[in-house]
Amino acid sequence: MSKSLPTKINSTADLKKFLQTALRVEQATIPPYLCALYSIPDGLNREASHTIHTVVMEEMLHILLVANLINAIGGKPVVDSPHFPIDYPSPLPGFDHLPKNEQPYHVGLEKFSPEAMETFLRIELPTYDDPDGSHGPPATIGQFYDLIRQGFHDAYKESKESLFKGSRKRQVTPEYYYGGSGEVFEVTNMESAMRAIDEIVDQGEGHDGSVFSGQSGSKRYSGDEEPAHYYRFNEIYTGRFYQEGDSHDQPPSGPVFPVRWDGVYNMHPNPKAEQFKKSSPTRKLMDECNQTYTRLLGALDDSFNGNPQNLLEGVRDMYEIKYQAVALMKIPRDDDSGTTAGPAFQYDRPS
Amino acid sequence: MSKRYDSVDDFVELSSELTGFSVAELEGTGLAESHFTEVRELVGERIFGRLLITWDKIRNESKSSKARQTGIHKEIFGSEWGDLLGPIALNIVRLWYLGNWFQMPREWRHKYGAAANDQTRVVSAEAYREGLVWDAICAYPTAAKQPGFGSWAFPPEDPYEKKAATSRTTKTRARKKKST
Amino acid sequence: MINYEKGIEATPEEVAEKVSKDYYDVIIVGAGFAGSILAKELGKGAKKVLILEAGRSTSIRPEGYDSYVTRFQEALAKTPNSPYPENPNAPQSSVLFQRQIQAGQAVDNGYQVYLGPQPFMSTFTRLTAGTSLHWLGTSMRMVPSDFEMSKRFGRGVNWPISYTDLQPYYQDAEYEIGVSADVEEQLRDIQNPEDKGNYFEKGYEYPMHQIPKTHLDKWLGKKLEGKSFEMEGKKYPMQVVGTPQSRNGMPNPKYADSPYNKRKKRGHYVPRGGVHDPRMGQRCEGNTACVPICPVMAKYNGLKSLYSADPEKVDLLTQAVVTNIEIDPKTQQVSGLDYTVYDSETSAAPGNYQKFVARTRKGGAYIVAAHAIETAKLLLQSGTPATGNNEKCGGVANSSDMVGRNLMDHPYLLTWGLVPRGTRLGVLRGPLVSSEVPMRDGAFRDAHAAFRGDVRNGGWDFAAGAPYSNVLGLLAPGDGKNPVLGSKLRRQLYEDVQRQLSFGFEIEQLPDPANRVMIREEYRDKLGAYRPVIRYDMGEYSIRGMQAAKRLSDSILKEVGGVDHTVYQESDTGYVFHYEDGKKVGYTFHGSGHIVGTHRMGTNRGDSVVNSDQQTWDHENLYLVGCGNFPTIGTSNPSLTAAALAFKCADHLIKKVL
Repeated sequence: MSKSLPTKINSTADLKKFLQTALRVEQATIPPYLCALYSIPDGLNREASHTIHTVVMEEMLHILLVANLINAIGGKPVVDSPHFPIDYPSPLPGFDHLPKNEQPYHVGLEKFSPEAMETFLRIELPTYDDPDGSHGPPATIGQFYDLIRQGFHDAYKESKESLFKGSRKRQVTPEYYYGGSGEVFEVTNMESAMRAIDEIVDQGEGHDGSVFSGQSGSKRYSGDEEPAHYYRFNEIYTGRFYQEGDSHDQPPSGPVFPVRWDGVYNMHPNPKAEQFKKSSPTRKLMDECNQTYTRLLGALDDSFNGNPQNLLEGVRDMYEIKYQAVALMKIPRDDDSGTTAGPAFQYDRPS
Repeated sequence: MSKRYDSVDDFVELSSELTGFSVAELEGTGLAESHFTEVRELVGERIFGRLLITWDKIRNESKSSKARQTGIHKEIFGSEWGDLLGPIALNIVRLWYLGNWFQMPREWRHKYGAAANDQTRVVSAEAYREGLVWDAICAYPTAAKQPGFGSWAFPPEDPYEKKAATSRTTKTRARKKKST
Repeated sequence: MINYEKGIEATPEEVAEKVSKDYYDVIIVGAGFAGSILAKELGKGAKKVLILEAGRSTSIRPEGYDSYVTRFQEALAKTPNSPYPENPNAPQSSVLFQRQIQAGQAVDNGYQVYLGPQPFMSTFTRLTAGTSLHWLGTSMRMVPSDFEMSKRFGRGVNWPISYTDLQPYYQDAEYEIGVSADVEEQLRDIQNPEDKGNYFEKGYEYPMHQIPKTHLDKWLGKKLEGKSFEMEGKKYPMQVVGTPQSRNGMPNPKYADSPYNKRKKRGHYVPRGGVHDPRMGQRCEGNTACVPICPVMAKYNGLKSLYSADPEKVDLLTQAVVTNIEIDPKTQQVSGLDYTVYDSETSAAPGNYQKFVARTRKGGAYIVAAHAIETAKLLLQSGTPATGNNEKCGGVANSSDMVGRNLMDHPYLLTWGLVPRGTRLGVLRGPLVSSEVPMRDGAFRDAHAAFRGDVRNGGWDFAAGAPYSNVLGLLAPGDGKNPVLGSKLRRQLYEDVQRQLSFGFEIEQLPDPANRVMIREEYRDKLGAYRPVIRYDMGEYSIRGMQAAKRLSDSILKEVGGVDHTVYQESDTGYVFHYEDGKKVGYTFHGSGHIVGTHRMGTNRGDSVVNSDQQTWDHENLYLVGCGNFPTIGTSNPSLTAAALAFKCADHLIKKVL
């Protein structure tokens, strides 16, 4: 898979490629978020846990929406492949080459920490102003989706309704998604395609420069709307909630909440199965976790390729990964580092 | 060599042999320390030490898991120490599997003395949630670690085809090597 | 959305202030299943409502609800009430205090006093949201013949309303408490074609698809395909039918277009998650802890109705124990409710208890919805308490002497067996019950009780304490000298538990005026309120139902090649026996928590407490709502029907009275 994306989408084939990369981007954010989330022991950092959990659920929604976008235009989402997940730490797919004045950044698997939050903030960085966005490669996920949006418009100009030639049977319908704000819907025309892209971008970086995503219809405890992902991570980073009226370029001014960076499981960054001896019991658990992960990718792939009902199988694996990951984070590594094992999120399909 | 037989590692290795869960699996519950402390406090350091010395002997004299099992049955349950050590070993298994401490048998309490908190009870909510029994039977503790919507519609896993061969031992050996 | 910060919870002072201004249209006693729904519906109808709840409001805060879950995990005896702390000011029953009753010796060490001959085995919870916190979530409708037991089978009594009268309210209830089920499967066990045709409105769908059946359900369903079971000379299919459940599943897209939903002008059904975090519990996650507490609130509880009630219209006062219903001697109307607010459980300091009277505005209504036992008890202890010389017809609303009588439950008969070696049933996963083998309807009901056999997903959990008992058994076989240890233990546990098949039969019981809740001078709680004193006997009709149920269990085990391991012992707390072909045969029953019948509905003031509007015959502005109104119990878990009755009462009050 090519490392750098073209800066413009020239054909429907290009659009499909971009969307496949989008699928990888959305998916690639989840393991880092999960590592931060699972490294927080039960009962600690309630607010932070809740926040990260909600973001993960919405990333799942984005995956489903991107899969629907791909299927809408007759593409084939690929998830079950050794080339699908990224090898942490690594740049997000399509973000290997950032514009000149942008610091490159790697996304890795880390425990809950201020540094991890900084990475998350970078991932979800909003696009405030974009004087020459059309020239260089995208620096933010928002710019990346801008290209996709434009790609849809261009392709639509050429193909009209026949752009949306994919079978509706391949679409993931609303009853399959729950547990987060927003909803999944079928993508069958330009209107729904644009709505899907808006939902993804707004949940990630906010709507038109606002802290709040303005789309979801979901409410927080107090009845406020949910801030976009960037701002939610910033709440954790600063230990303070946003409130209505807060501006995107100011720190949050709502209620303070406790964030403890110590006391989390001390996971060694970017664990890999190969770091453990082949016959060791920890390696066995590492392998099992990777296999569950791979099985999950398989279930998703199947669901996006004509069998949406197989998402149920994926649900089972998502829960299973959690318990396996948390167990790994409690197992000391066989060195004197004082760190623990952790989920590697590697593709591993035993023959 | 003056090794003290009171390390968490020794306890976890013995627990691994008793429960059929690997050292890594036991560590993965996050309860190695607290179960160790719990048992030591309840039966007293000297008796606990006796149990771990006995385990060390079994470990040193056995080459295979089968031999260790035989050793456990012989040295912990069958020897002159049987009525002292056997009930403790059983309680260790119950603790790991169920998260419960069971009051030591009456005769044991009379003969060796009873600790004040030697009461049948759930040791902690976490010990309940991490009880090994659920994993052993491929199920989930009631009101915790839920498996997700619809997961029950699939046939249960059958892990023993794969798992039986590889349960524990290797890490024990690795550690042994290091300590000698 | 309403939440605890803005709150529908009120302080005693706020309530007293509003009462002094004749503010309330309706005062409800009890914030449980029926009370929560009534409050919400009346609030929607623009009525001002006060709920007086005896228990605490812990669960309205997220940490409070979570503390119940932790309490359950830490409890050694994981009983239905184990998550819910004891509260001496509003005590509740517990299975831990049930004993066999020796003739003439009351068992009185718990809250409830048992006179026998059998102990009453069911319990309830006194808290905000009430027993809906620990109910199983099973929500099937009653069958039409349940409403005409006397007419069709010469047993029990008829209801003053028919199935058809209640049908629209069942639809309301299924929406409010969110039922997942399959219309076609629900028709399978209804015998009369006409009943079948009218069971659902044409085009009706449940709000959510049936909860996926467990591997066990599917396995058993296949094994029993085409098999039948004979009762009283007639064959009935042995079939595994999905149980309607008030737990969140996949919304049914067809629900939006069902005539009912269209009339209500509602769109697609969206499952209602946890009240503290609506994203939680939008689907059942398989905690297998429906009883005693769903950690994610995927299962309905009364909090969901309370939280969606209009906070401008509904006030909830907790820790407020109603001790007396005042009747105006001239008008025979209720003039107020005496209640005591307690501050702390332990304090004896003055000020810990404050006494108040709650009154509606003139023309308002009072509803007691405090659960079949507490409602009966409150009626009996009000006015001139029904003790001593006043036992007959003392209390309030009791001119018929029917208050407290006709107490019924579903005696719960467990059977258990092992299926062939190597079978993996996948037990202890999923909801506790997701399918049943029903024998709910048929001509046999003139001879013995109808019943439903829950296919228990928990294996031998209830029957024998699995999987704990398996661990303990393998560790100490025989003399305890040769424990099974290590990987052998691990694997043996798996093999043993995976073979555990168990059924729980809800057995129908007939109304018997002698089965009753009473009060006695000598039995009081900390507040001085009476404790329920219960006389309870099983009756041959039910024992013969147990006999048939056990026979069905045996037939099923035979079909699947299993072996029965059921044992009923004379020393069991719920042991009952009768004679089969001259031979004494015993069965052990448990409680289902389906407490009904204590203030039944009827057409005649001489033998019932309320009329078909659920209004007491004796006091025009006093209504009773809940399972106590059931004239007969049928085989359905009663909560859905109680919810339907709550909707019916709300409808009546809004349209006709207020």
